[in-house]
Amino acid sequence: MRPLAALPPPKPKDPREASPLPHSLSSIQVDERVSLPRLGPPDTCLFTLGITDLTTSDFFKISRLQLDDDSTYPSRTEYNCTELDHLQKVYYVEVTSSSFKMVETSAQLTADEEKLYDRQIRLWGIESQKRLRSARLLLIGLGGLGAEVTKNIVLSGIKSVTLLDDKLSTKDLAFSQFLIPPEKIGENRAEASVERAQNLNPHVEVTSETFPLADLNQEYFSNSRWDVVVATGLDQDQLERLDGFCRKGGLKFFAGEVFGMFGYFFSDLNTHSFTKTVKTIPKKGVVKEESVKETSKFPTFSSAINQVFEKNSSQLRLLDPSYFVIKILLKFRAEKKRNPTDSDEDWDQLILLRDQELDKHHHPREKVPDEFLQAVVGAEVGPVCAIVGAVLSQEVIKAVSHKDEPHNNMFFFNPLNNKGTVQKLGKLES
Amino acid sequence: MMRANDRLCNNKKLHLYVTMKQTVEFTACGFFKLGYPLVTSIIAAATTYLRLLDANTCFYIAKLTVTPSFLRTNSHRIMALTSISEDLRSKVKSSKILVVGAGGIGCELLKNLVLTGFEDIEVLDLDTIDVSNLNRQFLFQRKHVGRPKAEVAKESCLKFNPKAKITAHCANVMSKEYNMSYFEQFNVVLNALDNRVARAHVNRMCLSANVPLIESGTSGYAGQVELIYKGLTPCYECVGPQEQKTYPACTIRTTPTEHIHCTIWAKYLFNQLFGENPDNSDEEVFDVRADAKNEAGDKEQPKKTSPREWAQQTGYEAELLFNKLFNDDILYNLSMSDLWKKRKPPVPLLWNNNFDDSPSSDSPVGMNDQKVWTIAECKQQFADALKALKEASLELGEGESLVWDKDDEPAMNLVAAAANIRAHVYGIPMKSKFDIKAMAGNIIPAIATSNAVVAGMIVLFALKVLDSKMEECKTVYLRNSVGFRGAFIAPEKHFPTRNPKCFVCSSQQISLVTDMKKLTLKDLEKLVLKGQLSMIEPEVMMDEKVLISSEEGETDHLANKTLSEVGVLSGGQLKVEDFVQNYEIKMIVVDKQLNEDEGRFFITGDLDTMKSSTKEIEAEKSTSETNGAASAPSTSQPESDEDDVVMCTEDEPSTSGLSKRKSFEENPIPVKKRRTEAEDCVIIN
Ligand SMILES: [Zn+2]
Repeated sequence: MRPLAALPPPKPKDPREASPLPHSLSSIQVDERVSLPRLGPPDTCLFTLGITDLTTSDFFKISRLQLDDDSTYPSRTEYNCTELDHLQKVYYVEVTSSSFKMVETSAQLTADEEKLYDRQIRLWGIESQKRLRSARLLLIGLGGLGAEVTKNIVLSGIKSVTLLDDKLSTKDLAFSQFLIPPEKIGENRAEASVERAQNLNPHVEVTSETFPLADLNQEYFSNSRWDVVVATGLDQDQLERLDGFCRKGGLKFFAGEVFGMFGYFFSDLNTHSFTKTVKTIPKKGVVKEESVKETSKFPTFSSAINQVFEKNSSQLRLLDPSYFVIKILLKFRAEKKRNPTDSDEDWDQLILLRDQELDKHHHPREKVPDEFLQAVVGAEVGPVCAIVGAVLSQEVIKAVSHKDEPHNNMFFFNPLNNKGTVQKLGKLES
Repeated sequence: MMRANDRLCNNKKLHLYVTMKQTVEFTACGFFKLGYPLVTSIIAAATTYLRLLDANTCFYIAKLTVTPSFLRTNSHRIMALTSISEDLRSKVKSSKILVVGAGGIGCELLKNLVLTGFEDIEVLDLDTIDVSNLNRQFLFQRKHVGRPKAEVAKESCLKFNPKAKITAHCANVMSKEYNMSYFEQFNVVLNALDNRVARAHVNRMCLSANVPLIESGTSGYAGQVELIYKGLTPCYECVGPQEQKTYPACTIRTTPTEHIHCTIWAKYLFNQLFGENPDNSDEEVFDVRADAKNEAGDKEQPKKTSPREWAQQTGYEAELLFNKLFNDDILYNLSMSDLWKKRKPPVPLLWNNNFDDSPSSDSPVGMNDQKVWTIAECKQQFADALKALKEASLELGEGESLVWDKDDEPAMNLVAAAANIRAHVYGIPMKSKFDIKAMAGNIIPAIATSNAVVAGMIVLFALKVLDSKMEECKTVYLRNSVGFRGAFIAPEKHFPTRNPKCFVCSSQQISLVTDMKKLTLKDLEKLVLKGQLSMIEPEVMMDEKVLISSEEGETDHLANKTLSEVGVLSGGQLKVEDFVQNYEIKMIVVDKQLNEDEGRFFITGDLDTMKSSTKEIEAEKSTSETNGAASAPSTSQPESDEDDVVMCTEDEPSTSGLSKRKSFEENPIPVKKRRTEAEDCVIIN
């Protein structure tokens, strides 16, 4: 425990004041340069935060304080730790009701964590692992794809995962959703998944929420509870709205889906900086590895999904037909509020949507052959959830660790040729 | 056809046509094939019967003939797996699958199989669960550490589908009981292995049992899935026998120049002190000379005391051992003054020397194991580890010995400390325990996500194989980074051609180049046949004479005789057989004096090309050297920890085509960038 210099006088405890704690914090004037000793490795200092009589949710509300350019704490909505440079100045500060103290708790991994994460630390390094350990994920939609992402992210050693769903689990999830035990069919999908998800890694905090998905609003994403959001099972307009909320809240946003044997995901990391290793191979001598910093900008979901193509443009020609299949399926879902089955009625509808969509872009209908549409009906296929979920999970890991170039901005898994493609759709906001 | 739905059912003509062409194997019943004649008779019977009931019965006829009711799954009305045809789903249900390995890929694979509806699965793994598995082998939890992987994987998978029949074998796939008839019972075999010896073995078993094999591997972010099927694809060994990375014995024993040499030396040291006696005299890194003045020419002189006995007699006293290894032996090496004319000579170190205690590196470190020990710390670790290992070895029974394991703290600490002290003596920069562990334990970085992509792809391959669409299973690569036209999961465009000189699936002949006056039959068996050619129980015949027998004891009297001594002539032919693998090949022996760099022998299919290509690979390897300990004590068994094997790293320069097989070895070696579908297109951004 290291006491801070220039401690504010302890505030008298008033139960009525206790809940909106950020107030009291923002009234505390702390100049980071004067008062916070730099601890731990040079580029990241991690401290835990907590007021001793705080509830967990209060804890999260104030857990991230950006001690940056000026000496006051920004309000929660302005808080943004997406920039690498900012990230390096993020502190977890422990606040107690009587005094204001900093504890260096998470700067080092415990011996147990070192052992557990050994094989991945050897790949992405200890700094990435520490950043991962301070990140929090909100996962919306506990279908097969949601379960795969949950598994991979919990295994990776993130700080916390919140599972959010308002649907009940059904039998057809048995083909892909391995987190829900058979006896919990009929229960809320998020709640039913928590136990098995938690068993994957005791170091990660796994919780569930059942907030109605249709009512998701800006406030839900504005309270700095999460760093990353992965959404599955939503409509196109819900996704467009969610992406907007996440941009405003400074959260990284992913949306993904598996339909039968087909799957995709979309990423919006807004402006994202990262380090990557560049190899230079001189004619003689050893391969040199160098770490460089780069920045990528991402278009919004709305811009990507509503992209207008010029007739016969090269982009259109080189585009994987999967893009149109997603548009068809999202339209279908918007109309029917469900995914297509193998009924005649659904088939006719899919064909109709296909013809409309491709005609609109002056793109030959045979670019999306019937065979492709036959592969998208019915329940999510487990192995495809595994593939799409894994690529998506690795992108989440990249996003929070700021290491390696992210996929910008759509990934398609085409079941006809076993191909997984990354393509950039949409335009950057000016 | 793949969608047995009403729309297709309405097309009676199409339906009957497709049905008749279908070959459904009733493996569950096991007796007959649903071929054309049988289908037609079923149709005839059913049609007649239903016609009597209702004139308008086309629909039912179609339904009945496609999937007889006793085969139909109880699919949910809500949302079935309808993107997979009903016919294929029933094949899935009735097929029998073998999963070899329950490590990183294996766990993901078993989950996918069970979820997809496979109900008859056997899984084989001889390993037990370690903490470092838990970041990706998600069927295991902390409470399972120490238990057999196969058994726990089975228990966990049954929770996903209690109806599945999973048979777990905690065994080595290379043991005799898993013979050809064992392999023959499977519709498809899925490899989720971590080492090339076991891969080569399963390759041969599947070739001879004529069962499709799906081979896979990951290394870090990259991964690969490949179908191996006789007549359609190359086999696993089509790129020639696999070279193990070896270092000249004198480099390890006398003139190390890199840290890896010291690490290998330290592992040999462990084995000589506590482990099994080495098969190979090259692995003897120290001996107890009766008289240190005996010059190198006296090598043949029988030793009076073994190093183990000597160490036991002295009570594994750290100071004594330290002075012998880092002072006396170094002085002896220095006495061979010729060696040091062009090399930097080592500086002997005594236990009582004053050590500079300042940290050798003051760069910030993230983890404890990433700190580089000082010499004083190394000395302390060396002494502590010796003490702990001595106690462990006292508890062993007669004839038992310790086995080196990177996850055993004292064993790892001894190797790290001894390697570093030796490095220091030779003026080589010391390394952290974290880094030495990677070299000594042959650790390949492994993450959950790469394994999950690969395991998902394996099941998609398995579905195509069962659906008789093998030609759609072109090798798929998971790449390190996005390539041309966004290719990230990239299939090959064609099946590569088989190597007509492959010593497993094509050619009947290979050549062994060695010094016939030095290579003994024991060396031939252990190093050549088992080590390099991945045989299990080799038999060697020269004309009618048995030189090596798989019968225990039959040829023991010949074991220490050299090839020349038993009458093999240069250019002579040996018949080598392995009954377990149902494998037979002619071996031409070529007598040649080899220099130390070439090792004791090499194998070629074709004398010229093979040799030059292996040289090239060696050169490429110089940048990555984690493979140094290829001859680790455990290479003969699958180390399921390193389940995750290597592939291609696309951003590297290419090597010769023959190096492709290297891509499946334990070490990340840059291999030729494979042609993928994306590459023939122009990139426009
Ligand atoms: Zn071959």
